[in-house]
Amino acid sequence: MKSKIAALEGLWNQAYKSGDVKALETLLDNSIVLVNDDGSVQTKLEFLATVKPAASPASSQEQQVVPESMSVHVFGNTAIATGVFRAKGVENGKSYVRRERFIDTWLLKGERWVCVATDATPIVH
Amino acid sequence: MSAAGLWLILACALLPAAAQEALEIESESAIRALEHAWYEDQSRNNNQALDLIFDNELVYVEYGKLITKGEYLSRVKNAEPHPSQISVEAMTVRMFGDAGIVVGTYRDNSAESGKARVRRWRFVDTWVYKKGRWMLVAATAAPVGK
Repeated sequence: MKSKIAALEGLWNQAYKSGDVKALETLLDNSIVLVNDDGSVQTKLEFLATVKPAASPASSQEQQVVPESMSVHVFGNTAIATGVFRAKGVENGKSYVRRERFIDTWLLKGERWVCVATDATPIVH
Repeated sequence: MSAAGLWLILACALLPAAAQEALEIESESAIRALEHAWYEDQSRNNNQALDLIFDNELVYVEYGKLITKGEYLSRVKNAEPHPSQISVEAMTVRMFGDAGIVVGTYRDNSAESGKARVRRWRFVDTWVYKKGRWMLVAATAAPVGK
């Protein structure tokens, strides 16, 4: 089960980097709660609207998201994945590098795992 | 078939949905109560109560750092009791069967270097129904605004 969630996390990361909205639609529950590192909340539709194809002009989308670590805890039909990622990109013409910890909540709905909540928090040194 | 028979069939068809909705409302109320109990127990250093509502594998993230249940309870144990400084501003609960996701904001009134400081936080808590009760399995909070 843990490896399944880890694989889904990898798929999410890959889909985001490549701007694959269809893949993200499958991974994210329609009621998902997305909390950004500034505390703002997005719906699934709002988040997907920000995902641009990798080849598109510079936007606020991270150009590189590198997972550094991840662990998965399973509680029946609920799984919690937490880890650290390093995000590098360009925003408003300025390059940035951020390390953040994420917590993703996955739920087994029918035969498919979907993410129902995701939160990213900057790592404060 | 008689009209009474048709009504009976309709009622039987709707009962499971009504029962499910009632269960969700009950679960949501229970989780809301636990959220408030958490803040109150923490302000009173009530480790025993917190021990009961925190799952042993609790995933707790604070300032980007992963904190275990043991570390969290130890910190509460060693802190001075204080009136609740946390004011929950808004809270929504979404139920997914045996799991509940709570999203909300709270205001934290504290003092730093002798100055009163108010910070707003967005939190996401995940509760799971295990062995007859709701347990907190994940919690995280992020400051609102950069």
